[in-house]
Amino acid sequence: MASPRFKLPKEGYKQRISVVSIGATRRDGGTRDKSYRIGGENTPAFHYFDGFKACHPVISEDVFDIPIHLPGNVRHCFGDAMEDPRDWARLRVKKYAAKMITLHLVSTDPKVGNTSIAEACKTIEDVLQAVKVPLIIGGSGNPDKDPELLSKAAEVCSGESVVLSSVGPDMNYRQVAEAAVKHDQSLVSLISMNPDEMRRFNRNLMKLGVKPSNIIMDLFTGGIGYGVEYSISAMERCRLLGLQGDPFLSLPIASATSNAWSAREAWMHNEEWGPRELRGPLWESSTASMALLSGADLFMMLHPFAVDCLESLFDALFKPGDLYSTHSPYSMWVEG
Amino acid sequence: MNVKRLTALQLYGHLPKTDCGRCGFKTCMSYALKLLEREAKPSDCPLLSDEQWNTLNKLLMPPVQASSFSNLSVGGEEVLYRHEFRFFNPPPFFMDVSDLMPEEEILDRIKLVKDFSVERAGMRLSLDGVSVRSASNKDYRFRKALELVSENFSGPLILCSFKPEVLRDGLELVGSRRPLLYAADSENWSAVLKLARKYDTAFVVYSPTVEGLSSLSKRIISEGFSNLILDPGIDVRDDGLARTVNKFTLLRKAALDGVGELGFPLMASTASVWMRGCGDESKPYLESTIASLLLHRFASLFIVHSIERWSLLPLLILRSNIYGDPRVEPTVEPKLYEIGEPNEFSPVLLSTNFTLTYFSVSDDLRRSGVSCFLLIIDSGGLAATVAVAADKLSVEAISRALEKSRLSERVNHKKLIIPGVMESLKEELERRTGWDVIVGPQDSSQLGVFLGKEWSTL
Ligand code: B12
Ligand code: SF4
Repeated sequence: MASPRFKLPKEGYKQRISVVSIGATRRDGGTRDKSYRIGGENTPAFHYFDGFKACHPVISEDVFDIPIHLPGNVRHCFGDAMEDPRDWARLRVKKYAAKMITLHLVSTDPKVGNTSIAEACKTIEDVLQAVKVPLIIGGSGNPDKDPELLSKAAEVCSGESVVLSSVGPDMNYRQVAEAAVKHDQSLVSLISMNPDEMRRFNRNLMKLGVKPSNIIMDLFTGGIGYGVEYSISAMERCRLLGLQGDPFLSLPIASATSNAWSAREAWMHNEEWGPRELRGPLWESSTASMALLSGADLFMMLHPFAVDCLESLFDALFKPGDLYSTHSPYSMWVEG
Repeated sequence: MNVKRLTALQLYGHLPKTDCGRCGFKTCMSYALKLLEREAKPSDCPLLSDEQWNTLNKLLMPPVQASSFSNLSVGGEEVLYRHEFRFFNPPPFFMDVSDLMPEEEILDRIKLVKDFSVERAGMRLSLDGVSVRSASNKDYRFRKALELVSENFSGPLILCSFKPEVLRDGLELVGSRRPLLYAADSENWSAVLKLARKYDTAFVVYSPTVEGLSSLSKRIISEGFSNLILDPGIDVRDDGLARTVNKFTLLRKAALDGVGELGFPLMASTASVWMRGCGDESKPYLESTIASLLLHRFASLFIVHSIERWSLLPLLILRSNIYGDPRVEPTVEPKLYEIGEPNEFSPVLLSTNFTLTYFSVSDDLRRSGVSCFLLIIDSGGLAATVAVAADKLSVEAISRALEKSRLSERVNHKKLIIPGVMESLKEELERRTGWDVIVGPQDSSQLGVFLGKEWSTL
């Protein structure tokens, strides 16, 4: 006889995470082939027993505007295409089926190439032409130059619903926020692993008129062995506070998972650790899976194999099937 | 909502409040804090009344009970999210051995468990034990495999079979080592229970449903036994992963909500992943991925099959990350360290007292073979990059540390190499200390090259 189904009292979360749309198709006044919606959670990630529902997360794949130094096992995937961001973006889309591209305009940094804003905007236009997937426009991280770059990018991409990555309190974020509002673009707010500051900063953005449906939080993703536990806790805390009703934290979460490659274990040659070819991608995809379980909605990633692996995790985790199935081949592992 | 976490004040309410100090702590309150941290036991206070003793023990029992076998204690957790307090017992990893494996392979696997160890941030990370399963269903094979394992490995063991006769055979050989018994189900549980009682060890209860686990565990508890571990299974079919994560999460949540019969550690055998019909090459990757998901989602013990170091490494490191205490930055003592055998000509380098920073830098230096002095300053336990970003480094404090180290008496130069990330401090440091400050590379792994090439010419 079947026993009654085990149930826990519902947690009763107060607020849903906002939904952010990325990319505009012709119907919406843009030129992208597809658009994506992220966020919308009503419980912590995969708490199906509590009625978990959410938009499918999306992975955006890195393209840099100059061939930057990357680990050999990453470079190997792109070859000469790294010389030109258009080619790199095309390769990402054609060969690796990228759903979204992050164009990092790193060369605009005065310490790197000091590319002018006008030139950077030309690159953006070129990439918009070259591929028809939605875009994230990334700055160089230079707090003096990024505000102008990102606000100009908002203008250049008008109608395309791009994401501007990123703004933080130590720069003229007001300028970027105003441009984003004017051109209806979304923003990534970046605060390294600090929920209280994240809350304060998002409130400032909202005071400037940025809507919750246009903000994605980046709490920084440390790789395994390089601070992943801080990232897990920062994301989990923000997500819980958001679900419990904090309007400044009930926002989708972005994970710049490529950071995982800063861990030596991802790229360094070391016989003790085994070959690098799979160790590197595994480092990135396992870091991503920690972010996924902690609530991340948007992933910015580097290695195509890590991307594939995370995609198949999405498929598996978002397809709950019969949650209460009573049959499982698992116990055969003993004799298998 | 989770049951409210226990507080020190609650414990304090049940202490004698004499502040006599016999427990080794100055006040009852500081003792209460240590109880909460599991750094003191009720038996440390000699003045407790029987009633106080009972209440304290009841209060201190974690909602996920700790179960024990061999010399291990697993589970004993009390939160869903590590930021709520901390996770306590890092899940042990057991290497899968089957009695169908050739002798060579079994020995290789044992060797891996004994030898594979990674020194990281001052910790030695390694696998923990060997799990032997009766895949052949032939008792002589199982005995033979087990003999081989027990002769060559003295650490924690798991015996796997759903047949109590097989487990009993195994226990006759290694029972004194209190191996974990895997597993009891709705058919064999009372026989497995008998064995666990006889050999004073724990056993695993398996059912693919939460209801199944609940009813089995209730029956076993009612027999007066509670040294249990629950295995809800990993569903290795395509749509099974969501179900698996859901079950593990629900079970932890139920334990924290006070559902007593589910308040036991959970385990997972990711060796099950190898049953799936995909190429062997991708299996270590898949297994590592699923194990990392379940490390985050509450498994307190793992049986792994993959022997690929690249797939085990992230698991060992992730485990130490997740189970680290989130309330403290791991630090080393800020002082002058000697690398190799430095003399008056040796370089002097500066770094911060975050454990990971100290060990990364000192390992790099050791690897480079250069003898030198490493001055570790107190950054409040922050990594060099973080300390700079947070503006937590005072030139004042650095120069005091430099003076205190008496380095000027030990070397015949005044050259201090600082991390690349501290570049902005260079000028002020030079002014304050009178030393030449040299900006080193961003990453200490470049120090070998840097010192080899530049030190002689600096
Ligand atoms: C974990 C982490 C934290 C943890 C701190 C953990 C700790 N105990 O330090 C927490 C969550 C607390 C944190 C907080 C913050 N963080 Co933080 N954090 C990180 C993270 C993910 C890893 C740091 C780490 O452990 N690195 C590993 C250690 C070994 O690195 P390290 O000490 O720097 O040592 C290396 C080099 O410096 C060099 N080196 C070290 N010593 C020496 C010596 C010599 C002689 C030489 C030559 C070289 C050398 O080699 C080492 C090995 O590579 C980094 C991102 C990253 N990948 O670096 C961000 C990062 C460092 N954090 C950052 C920021 C901004 C912050 C905050 C200021 C954010 C905020 N607004 O609150 C706060 C400040 C903290 C505070 N107020 O107390 C930024 C810094 C940006 C910048 N460069 O300006 C980073 C880079 C993330 C980012 N991109 O946003 N952080
Ligand atoms: S021994 Fe007991 S009564 Fe004395 S200080 Fe410690 S806790 Fe308090």
